[in-house]
Amino acid sequence: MWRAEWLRFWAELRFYRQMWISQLVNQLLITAGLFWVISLLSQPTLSGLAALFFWQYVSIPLSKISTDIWEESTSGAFEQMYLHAAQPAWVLVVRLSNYLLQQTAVAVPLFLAMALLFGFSLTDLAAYNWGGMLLTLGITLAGFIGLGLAVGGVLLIYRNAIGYTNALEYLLLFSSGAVVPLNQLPAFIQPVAWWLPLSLGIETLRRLENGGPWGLTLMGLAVQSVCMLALGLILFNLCLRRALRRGFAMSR
Amino acid sequence: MRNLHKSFPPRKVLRGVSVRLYEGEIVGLLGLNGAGKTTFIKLLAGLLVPEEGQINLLGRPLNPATVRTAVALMKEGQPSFSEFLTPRQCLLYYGHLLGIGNLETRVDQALEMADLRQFAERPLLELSFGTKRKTGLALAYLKGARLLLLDEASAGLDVKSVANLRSALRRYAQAGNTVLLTGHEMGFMEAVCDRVILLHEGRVKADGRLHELGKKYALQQFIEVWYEGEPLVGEVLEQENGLFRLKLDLHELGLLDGRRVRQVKLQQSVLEHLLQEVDRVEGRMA
Repeated sequence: MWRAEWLRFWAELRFYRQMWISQLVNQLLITAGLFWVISLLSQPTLSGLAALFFWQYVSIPLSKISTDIWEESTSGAFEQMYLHAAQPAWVLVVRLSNYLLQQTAVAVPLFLAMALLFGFSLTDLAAYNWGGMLLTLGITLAGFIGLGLAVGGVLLIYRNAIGYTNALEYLLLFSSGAVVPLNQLPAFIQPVAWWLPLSLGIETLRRLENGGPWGLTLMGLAVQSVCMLALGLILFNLCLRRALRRGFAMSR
Repeated sequence: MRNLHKSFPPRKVLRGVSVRLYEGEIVGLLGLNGAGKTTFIKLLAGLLVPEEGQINLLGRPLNPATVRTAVALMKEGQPSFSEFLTPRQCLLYYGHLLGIGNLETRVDQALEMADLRQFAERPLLELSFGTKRKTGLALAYLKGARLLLLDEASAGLDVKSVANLRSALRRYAQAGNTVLLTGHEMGFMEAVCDRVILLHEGRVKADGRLHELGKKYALQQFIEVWYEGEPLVGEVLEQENGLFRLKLDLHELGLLDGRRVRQVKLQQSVLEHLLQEVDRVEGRMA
């Protein structure tokens, strides 16, 4: 399966190389623009910049899995994949892993370049708790893979669900502390915001930089991510079973 | 397949379909739109589960593992593959997924057998619909699928592609495999199918070889004539502005006044008449 997906990954990368470049420019503009606005409103911090990259990076499972399912269901390729793979969910996760590798290769130099551009020194970068950041990132990603599978599963039976994927990504951006710290969000959002899948990850990042206690937050994040991953897998398989009873959404 | 039932509430799509397919035959699945053909194909491919009934493949109940190795499917109006892949990459991709050994050589063989070598390195997006269909056929060869399912087999294909597909399917069946296809191009279906199954409103209304069905339903070739004025012979099919569309036997043509004959057409498709006949009998004459 890894070989199959690796082959597919390279073929897709070669075919859509122009699109990757435009995506990179998009990513650069959005991140730089948002961070510039944030730095006008408050003291810019490395964790603030990291939070933006963090949001983009952990949102990948959500957007990638749902886009893949949407496009492949439209072309009939998803049904072919289902006919040839013992575990479709696993194929999607493997595909996602390849894509994340590619995004890592883009995001790391971009993050470093932007950090230097916004005035952070190499000393600041060297002092940053990269180990803690990577651990937080990994755990948050696991939860988001679950979320991606859940949304992807729903797409198998409700074709219009694709429209809500982007909305969900931006909801997470603005309500999870990536742009505005949670305690500065409107009061009615705050109780909910704490439980959003990105919030604990962003909060852990902030505490890592401020030197606050982060162990408990990370533990909470781990529990949340494991639950989301399990729920995502369960929901995906339930939706797949339902699709086999009612027909796949895009081919009904 | 025995007693298959499937519904998408409130509509009952299949109502007790029982069919047996044999090795080496090309079977055409016919029916008007909404007859249940695509649903039937999807059930065989394991893309839908029946509410009732049983599907056996190679002597065992249909399950995902059997489908993976023994069934190949090309669906209606869809490329069925990611279009940035070339036919060769497509085959390698699914070959890796299935864990097929000696893959490179087998992919070469499959491309050869599906007559795809010259297009093997071009992305599917740049290829014609017929060539995409051939990629599906090559995949069937690669995995050694015993059952090839083609929904709307000849739709969107030009004359040459149809001829190519016809001979490719024939070769595939001659290797001991079974092909089940649907289609609305009756000429193509007659030319390629050994046997036809006619579905009507979710039920099998006819099943047999063409000549058997022709005898059973007293189907014969006839002549269709547009005739000016009241005809003395033949069956009037429709009337429009003093012109009559008549159904005639060949010998009746000489009984008409040749000066009033506006158009003559030999109706050749037995299947088309079979469809109309069944539809007429069922009280839904098109």
